[in-house]
Amino acid sequence: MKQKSDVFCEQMPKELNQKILLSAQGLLKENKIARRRQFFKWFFGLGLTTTMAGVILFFQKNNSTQFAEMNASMDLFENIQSEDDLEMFANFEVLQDLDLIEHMDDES
Amino acid sequence: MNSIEDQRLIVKISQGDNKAFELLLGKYQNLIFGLSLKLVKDKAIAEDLTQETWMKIIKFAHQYSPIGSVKSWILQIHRNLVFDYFRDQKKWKDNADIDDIDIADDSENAFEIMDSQEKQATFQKIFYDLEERDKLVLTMVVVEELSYSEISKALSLTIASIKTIVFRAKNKLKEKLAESNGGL
Repeated sequence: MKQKSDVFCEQMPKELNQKILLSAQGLLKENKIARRRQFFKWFFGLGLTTTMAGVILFFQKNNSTQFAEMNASMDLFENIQSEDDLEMFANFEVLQDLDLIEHMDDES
Repeated sequence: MNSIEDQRLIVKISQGDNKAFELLLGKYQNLIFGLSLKLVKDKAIAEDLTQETWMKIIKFAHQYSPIGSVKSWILQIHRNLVFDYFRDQKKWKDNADIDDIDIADDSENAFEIMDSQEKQATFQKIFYDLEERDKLVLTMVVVEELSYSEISKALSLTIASIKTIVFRAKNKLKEKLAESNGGL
């Protein structure tokens, strides 16, 4: 069926068609590059998100281990019953240092 | 179906597909070139406007939204370029010269009467002699099939002015047709 817009149609010269196709090459190439760039952005974005999620999971897991260690230390402190026990714990590192120095003296 | 095919072509053009561009160009090149030629009456300028329209289609293909048809979108790009050209050339007139007359014409499809080749040829003759502004309004009515309020928004003209422009063109068409029938 003939449309009303057909009243306005005129045969476009072949030279103009060729000219347009030639000029279009560069712009179409730009579109292709832009699409590729967008794909890579998406790809790296996905990679980055996955890595971040991995890091968060790792730290979460590590945190739960640290919590377990802290709980163990808390248990130790709970076992301290008297002032003598406390003193023994306080001197423990110093005693250990002294042992080490003595051990070094022996070797020399 | 046609519209879906056009939309598929536009998506491919936005991805840089040469073949899709060739197909879309082949489909609408005569309409865009014909419109340009009839609106500006200068072959070289019409060719520039046609080329510029197609370059914009490639450039903004990714911005196409499938709310309207591809044909309407292409025509809109072309119309904006023509509008800018008329304004740059100081050929654009606003409402100032139109005495808004009360037109009882309620039909927006004012050119339904163009059902024969003879009437179409007469319309072309009338169209050629119209002012730039009036020509653009008529293409928006006949080709783009826009409502008066849409045209009013796009061209910053009052609806009454648009009605007047269409009314005058329609009357001229009737007169010319009567003349040619009387002459036979």
